[in-house]
Amino acid sequence: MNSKKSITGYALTVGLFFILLIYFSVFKKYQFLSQEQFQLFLYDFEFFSDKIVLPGGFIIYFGEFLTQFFIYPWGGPLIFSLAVTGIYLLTRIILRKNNIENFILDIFPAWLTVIQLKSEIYTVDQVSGTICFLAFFAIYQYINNPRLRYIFFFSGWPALYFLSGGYALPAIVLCIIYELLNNDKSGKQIALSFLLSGAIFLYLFSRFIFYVPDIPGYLYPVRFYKEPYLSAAQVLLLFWCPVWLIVSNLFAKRFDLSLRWNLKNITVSFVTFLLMGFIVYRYSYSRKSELMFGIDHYAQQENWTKVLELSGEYDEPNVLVSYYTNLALSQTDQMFQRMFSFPQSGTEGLILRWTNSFNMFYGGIVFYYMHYMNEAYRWSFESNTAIKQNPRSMKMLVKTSITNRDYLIAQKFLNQLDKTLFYKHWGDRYKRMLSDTTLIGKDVEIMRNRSFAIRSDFIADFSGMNFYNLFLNHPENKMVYDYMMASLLLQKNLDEFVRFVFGLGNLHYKQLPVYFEEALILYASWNEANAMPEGFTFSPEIIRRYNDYVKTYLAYKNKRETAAAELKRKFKNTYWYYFQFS
Amino acid sequence: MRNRIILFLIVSVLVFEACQQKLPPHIENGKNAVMMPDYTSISIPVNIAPLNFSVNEAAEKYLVRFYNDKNVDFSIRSINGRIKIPVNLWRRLLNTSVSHEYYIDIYIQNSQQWVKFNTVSNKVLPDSIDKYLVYRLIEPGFELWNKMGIYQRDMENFREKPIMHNVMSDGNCMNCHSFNNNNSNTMMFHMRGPNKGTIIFKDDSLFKISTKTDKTISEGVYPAWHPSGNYLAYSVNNIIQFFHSKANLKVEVLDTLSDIILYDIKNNHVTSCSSLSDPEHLETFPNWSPDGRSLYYCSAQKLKTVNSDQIRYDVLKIEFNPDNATFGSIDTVLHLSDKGQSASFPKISPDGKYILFCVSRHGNFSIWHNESDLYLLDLNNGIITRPEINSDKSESYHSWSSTGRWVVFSSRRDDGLYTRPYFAYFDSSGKFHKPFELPQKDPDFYFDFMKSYNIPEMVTTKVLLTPRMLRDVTITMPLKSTFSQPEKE
Repeated sequence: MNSKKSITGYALTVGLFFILLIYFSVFKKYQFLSQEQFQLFLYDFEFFSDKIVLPGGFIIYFGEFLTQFFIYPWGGPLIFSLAVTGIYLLTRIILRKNNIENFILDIFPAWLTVIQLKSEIYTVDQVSGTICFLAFFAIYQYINNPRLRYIFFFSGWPALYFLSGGYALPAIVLCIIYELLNNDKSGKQIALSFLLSGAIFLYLFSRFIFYVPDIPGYLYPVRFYKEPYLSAAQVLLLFWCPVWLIVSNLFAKRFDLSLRWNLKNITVSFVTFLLMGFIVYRYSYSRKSELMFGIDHYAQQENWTKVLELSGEYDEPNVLVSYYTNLALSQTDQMFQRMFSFPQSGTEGLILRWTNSFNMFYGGIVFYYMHYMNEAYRWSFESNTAIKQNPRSMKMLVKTSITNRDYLIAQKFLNQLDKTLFYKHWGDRYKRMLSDTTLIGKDVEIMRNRSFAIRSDFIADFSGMNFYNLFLNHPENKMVYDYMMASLLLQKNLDEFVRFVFGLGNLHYKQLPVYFEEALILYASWNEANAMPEGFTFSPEIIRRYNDYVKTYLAYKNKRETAAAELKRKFKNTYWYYFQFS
Repeated sequence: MRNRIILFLIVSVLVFEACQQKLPPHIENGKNAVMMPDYTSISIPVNIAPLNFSVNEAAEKYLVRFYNDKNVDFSIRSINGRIKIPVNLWRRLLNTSVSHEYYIDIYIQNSQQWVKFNTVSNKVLPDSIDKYLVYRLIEPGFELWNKMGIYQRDMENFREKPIMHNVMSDGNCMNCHSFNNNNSNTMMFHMRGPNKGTIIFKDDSLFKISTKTDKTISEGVYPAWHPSGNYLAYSVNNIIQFFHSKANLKVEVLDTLSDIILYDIKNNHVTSCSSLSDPEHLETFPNWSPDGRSLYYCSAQKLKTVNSDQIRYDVLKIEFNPDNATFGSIDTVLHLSDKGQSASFPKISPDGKYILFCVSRHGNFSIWHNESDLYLLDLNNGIITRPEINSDKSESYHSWSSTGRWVVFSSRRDDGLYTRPYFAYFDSSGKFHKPFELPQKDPDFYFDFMKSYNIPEMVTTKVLLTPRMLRDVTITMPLKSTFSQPEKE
């Protein structure tokens, strides 16, 4: 019977692990890849000591250590599957000791953990904290000798707080409840001594070891969220075991909380499990977020085809998605053939606004492709400072510093990358350049950047829209020209668009791009003026389509909504439609 | 613990071994070894911490010998060029070299052949340096920060302790720490952001004030303690910054408005005078004469348009009567603007004989100006010199030691970005000696350290404040100052 039970237990554990692995691999792959991009784990004592000034700094350190392996697509899914399965197992161990054998109750904390993964700030340190306090209590309650148990508490709990900070607090609750429920003789005194010693330890920690600015500071690094249901999941997770310890003790005689494995219970468990899965899929998974992380991931790989493929699936305006879509279009020379086939977010979809640290994190790359080194450097430096050191900003700082001939500064950033496991070899190429600067002259990327170096200084615009100054510096900079013209199209500023259309001449366009034609024909028809640059003419196709557009529009002239619907059906990817209805 | 003890014993034996080793047969190459930091031909105080360094020469083995004329002689071996000097040997070397020189011989071995570089000689001066250096550590960013703190470092060893850290104040910015006459018991610094205000520590009491009134431009910014400790002069500024696009330029920080105010600590009262709040001029960087009877400051003609490369500051002086806190007549001390130069951070030596100041092409935020150098004005004869302590990178904020024999200044000479504290001896004949960088336990520390040392200030004794002590006062509401403008002077 027991071996049957343990086989079922193993099977459930292994089954759960694989279900989690599949779920994370399919539905959370890009979120984990993105988490890795927000940190840079350094094998350096200072990196460690910097973390442990706050309670639970150790699990943050440990979490970041594990997160570095998320660089592999299997890293995040594997580590999180193991961790969540660990939470399930520990809950099972704790509840079994209290005579509750119930798969659904066992799996609940694991489920609450998966729910919280809706938030990208739910990182490995959080799940490590949960494991720490569950493991602590699991060991505690298995020590039968009361003296040894108390010794374990008084020596182990401070260590637990040192390691996991606020995550140690549920452990003290569990131990107190355990003693109150199981120790008839001196349970109250022991519980009180736990409570008092806990308070004393917290005081001593805040006085001599950690910086605890206020009462909530003792809870650090337990995270709560903007979304109430995620915070509720966190609270429920922390107090799941204490609640069932009490319930099991109070109602054990009246109700049997254990599930025997019969058909009815298996069916109920299976249906509950499916329901849990449905809730996770419905409320904890966001296809849109995953697409966004995926787009960011492929943009870093310069896999522009994949970026456009994923952004094609994102069917509503989103600033970050537009930003990467436009970058991908520009890099594949399709800006003026396809940009209005994607939902646009105005000029913010070209250059992100300097509004928050996350925009800085994502927003520097576009300047680099424009060869606008100082802005690429500034955005990366600020993101590296305000968020924390991260690989993409660090790499950008190396490249921009070398381009700007700040070799000693580049060396400094390379030194940091040298302390990592996965990025130290990325810098080899640049280290060679710094030890022999003649190699820089042979590097196509750096030399191309330098060929577009700013000659006439100007001040960076708050919005980042310095296209005009950049264009004046280098009229041959195609990306700058494309972005400048795209910004004018997005602003529906056709007068300025026409003013700069001559710039095509510097860029050796053989054919007028589609959206140029659409904008110019629109301008010509509204202003009764021909703004076509010398050497280009409207194609017969564009004239035919424009006539068709106008005809359709005029047919519904007084019914704007009907006109919009009809024109959307036939012309939704045209500039005309964007101009009139977006 | 056991491992530590074993490790300690092994290291001790190795160091002892190294110290006892005889010098190997070698040839002399007649060259100067590259030493990082550059601790060659410098003058150092007798109480300075060991000047650890790295030998930046490719080699298989390194041997460095330290000795003086008083028979102190030891050597250190290394396989990576990092030379860490044992504290007890260093102390013996310095204590026996006072007013004389000590020598460093650097040997490297390649292909079984030892080569000796030219002997380095450094002078040990009997003039001690103030025991603590206080600075802010912050990333040399543009607008943003994350973690930052004000720290104190014991100059006689490598101990660094935070005085304030922003993890205790909701991550806000803090700046402009200042002491009265290098006295750690009279201190102030500003908090910005949600907990904004000025924290003052004086006569064992700690309080937070707000110097912003509806008649002044801003909260107090650049501070200067009156020698009596009763007043603080502040600049009040409307500061803007913008970012260049050319490769060799980065940030420009400038004032569109700025005045100087006087804060009376006892009465929590702010005042000014028309000369220090002239709407046609920008006044900033106040600094008192040691007798407290004159206030030196920088002043520039206010331009009608924001044209940063045309704003140039001169150094002016205004008389002050500490008895009734009134200002008198103005005098121009340094007229640089007509020479196409701009002055900032005028600091009067404790004996009142000199002003050390920064000169850049324009503006006053010299740290972002590579051309910014330190200059010295002899107030007795009006002669300005450019001491040989400058580099081709920015030299900026500086302060005098309590004795006036040492100066600490910020320099970006290491890499052009990260500001490091350098110390220079100022001898009785008014000459600066070659500066040296703040020594660190790890010889390669500066190579990796990703923060700037900001506002280095020397103090004679330990600052008794800690982040935990400061937490409560930082979150309290500041005491609002009152303001009055004196009757027409």
